[in-house]
Amino acid sequence: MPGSALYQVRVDLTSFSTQCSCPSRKLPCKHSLGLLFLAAGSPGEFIEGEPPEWVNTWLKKRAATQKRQETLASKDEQSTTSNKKASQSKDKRQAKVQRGIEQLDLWLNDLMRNGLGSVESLPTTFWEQQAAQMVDAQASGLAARIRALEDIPNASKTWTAKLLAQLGKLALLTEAYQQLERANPDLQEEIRQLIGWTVKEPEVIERGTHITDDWLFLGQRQESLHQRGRSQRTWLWGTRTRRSSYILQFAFAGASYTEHYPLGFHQEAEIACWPGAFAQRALFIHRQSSVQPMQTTLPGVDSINAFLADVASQLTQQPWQERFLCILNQASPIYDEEKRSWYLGDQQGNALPLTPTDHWKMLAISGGYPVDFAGEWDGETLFPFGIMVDQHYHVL
Amino acid sequence: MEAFLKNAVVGTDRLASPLPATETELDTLTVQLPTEQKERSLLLAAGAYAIYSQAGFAPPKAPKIMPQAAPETLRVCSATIAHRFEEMLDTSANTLLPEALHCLQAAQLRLPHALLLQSISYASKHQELQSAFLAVLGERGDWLSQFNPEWSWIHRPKQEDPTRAELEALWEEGNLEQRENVLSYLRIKDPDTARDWLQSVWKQEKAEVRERFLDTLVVNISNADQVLLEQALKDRSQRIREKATQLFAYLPETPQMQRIMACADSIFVYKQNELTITLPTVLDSIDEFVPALSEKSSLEQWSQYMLMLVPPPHWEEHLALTPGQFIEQLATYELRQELIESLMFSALTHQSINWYEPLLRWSIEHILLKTRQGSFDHYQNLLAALPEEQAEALLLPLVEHPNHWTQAVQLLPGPWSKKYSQHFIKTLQKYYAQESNTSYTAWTDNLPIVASAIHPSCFELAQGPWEHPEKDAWYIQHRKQQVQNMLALIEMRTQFLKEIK
Repeated sequence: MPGSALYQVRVDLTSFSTQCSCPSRKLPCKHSLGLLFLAAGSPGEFIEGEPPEWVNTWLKKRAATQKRQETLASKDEQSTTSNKKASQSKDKRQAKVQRGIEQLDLWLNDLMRNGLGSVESLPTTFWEQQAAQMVDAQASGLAARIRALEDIPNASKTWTAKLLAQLGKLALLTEAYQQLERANPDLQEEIRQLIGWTVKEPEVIERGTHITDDWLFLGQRQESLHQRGRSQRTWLWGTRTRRSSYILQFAFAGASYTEHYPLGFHQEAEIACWPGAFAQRALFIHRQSSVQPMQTTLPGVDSINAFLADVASQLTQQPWQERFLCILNQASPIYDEEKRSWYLGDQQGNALPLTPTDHWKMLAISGGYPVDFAGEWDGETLFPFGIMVDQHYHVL
Repeated sequence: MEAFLKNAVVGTDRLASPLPATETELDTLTVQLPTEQKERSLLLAAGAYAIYSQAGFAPPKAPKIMPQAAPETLRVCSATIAHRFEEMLDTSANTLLPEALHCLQAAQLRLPHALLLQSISYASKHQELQSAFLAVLGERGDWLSQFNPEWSWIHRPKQEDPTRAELEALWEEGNLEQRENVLSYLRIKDPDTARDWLQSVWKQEKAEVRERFLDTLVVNISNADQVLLEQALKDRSQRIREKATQLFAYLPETPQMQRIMACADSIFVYKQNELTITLPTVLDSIDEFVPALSEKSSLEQWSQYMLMLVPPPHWEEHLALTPGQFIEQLATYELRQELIESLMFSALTHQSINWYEPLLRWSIEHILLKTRQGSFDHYQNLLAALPEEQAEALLLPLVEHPNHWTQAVQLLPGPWSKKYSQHFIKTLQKYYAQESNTSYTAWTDNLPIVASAIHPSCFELAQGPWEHPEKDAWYIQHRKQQVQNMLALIEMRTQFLKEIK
């Protein structure tokens, strides 16, 4: 910082939390990012020593905040279970959701009766109004699914088939909710969450499955929440448990995400997964060690068929799942110059289409050679997260 | 999904057909759905089929596998250098790129593969840097370029010189650009053949084609081209006739140019220490060679055209005046700016290097320091041909003027000598301290160039102190920020050069 003031920059390498005394509105600021990069790229440059007072004060403050949140969570849990009023409120909500679902089923039936051919000319308010009704019915999960339908008409040549598939899945979900008692407890939990019954973080800590593993931070995908903000899904892979999880964050009104995850690194940590049939969403309980760059082969499968078999297996446990973490070894990016389309090919000669954007960076890094690949499969296309080349994970 | 789609698109109200069979295991489930609830059954069946299809997705066969890139022959630059280079690709720091590219090439280093896309995309939009980028893209860059037509500037197949038969075939059958390239190539290798080929098709080509082909003659032009140029002088197209006149200017020994010079001598007469400019007395059908001139042309037109066409050494010889003296004489006329600019044009055409310094000295003093002239092309070309020290010395009057220092930056964008850099920085620091020096855009536009031009030995000097007026005005804060930005660029340069050593 030539000619400018000195700032007090501090980072916690276990959680990537940062604080800096500079006036930047960007979080993390460039000074914090610089320090993080330096710590990751040249750890030898640092010597261990007594933290200065201003770092101690910050760490103590963070520890106190965390403890306070845990205490609050446990109090919250105790009070909700023992509170009659809460139980009444739950019943009331149950009734509201039920009415909402009945109304949604009528709406779906009307759509089928009139035919999807009429949908093409409908204004976006058609979907928004129905989504708003689901919000009023406190079924936010259904509302989100209806909002997503808004983007389908006319977006592709096969939009009618896509719309019918999504409407069908929506109908299956309301049907499953109506017959909740026939599902096993884990699936019941999953269905309730898909409808919109939220499980708050304290409850996740209390009831969710806790897993301690060495987690790879493989990639992130961001999605717009239809002018309401954005969500970010950070995919993790547990190297010992060989399972995937994701951390979901939301940001509203242009704000930054509160947590920053180190893509291309791994860390020993304990997570708690949301209860459910195929629980993938998780939150960090404790991040136990400092992060290290990923430098070994990615723990993936060798063929696209093996990956798709795993997708099928996941769908048997949670049929409404839309996104799947894909880790494939020895895969090659392919550009079809005639069709101007991108694919990821495996050693057996099969391929999956990549998202319809350019993937030149991936091609440049791979040089046409097979590489280890990580990405997200949405049933139609693969969204690349990163590739491992020469023991270096390149985030794409 | 196709099975259900027809019912769903038309609507169950209009199409009362039963739920179609899918010929899959799903049918055992869908037959259990209540037939009286057509819509609900259709939705549930479609939903189940969607999940069934998702679970049974069969991957397509891969398109043709791509060729693999050749191994690299150059070492990759360090991660720190790559990081610095990446910063320079940003618009706010791209003035540093030419030096960085030069350093990478000198050190025989290439960019890492992860930086290729950004670098190639940048260079594709900045043609002037493409040849410098070529040296640092490595084999991978060359390999990658074959897949994207926009990057064809990278992939230049290493081929031997084309044979005569290949050139003939292209000349006979190629498109306009290919034929033009053949002529340009031949003008370097075999100018006579190029001229003969052009002569043989001259009458049958369209005017715009003739004009483009005529341009190629400027390379290796000689008296042997005279016949073709004479033919071009009689062309129906005035643009071609004007082009031919300009080309004749390169051939002072031809009769045409001799007649032009005789005419010029009747216009510019130096007697009793005074230059007089009058309408020509010796016309000698000069309008046949200079289509823009006629008997009705004004004195201004005659004088400017003659100055543009006649080689400057002719004035030294004919009038027995030094370049400086001739310029001083021209400067007594009201039309001096136009006359000197015509002379500048001629000096560049004929590469009369001894004229460059006096022309620049006069123009800087009487044109640049007195006007806000925007076009610097001639000046830049003249300065670029002079030794560094001489060019920098000529620009000092501009540097030392608080309203004109930016012109010095634009005319000589670097790299600068140590002495000139020191002087420049100290002068800038002086301007910085003056509250009245408030040309904000000038500082914003030119400080990045200063950061890229100064000599590395002056990096410390550039750190300051930069003392600004003790006033909390917005423009003081703005200028402070502009200097901070420049210092950030200098710091980037410092780090890059330190790392690459």
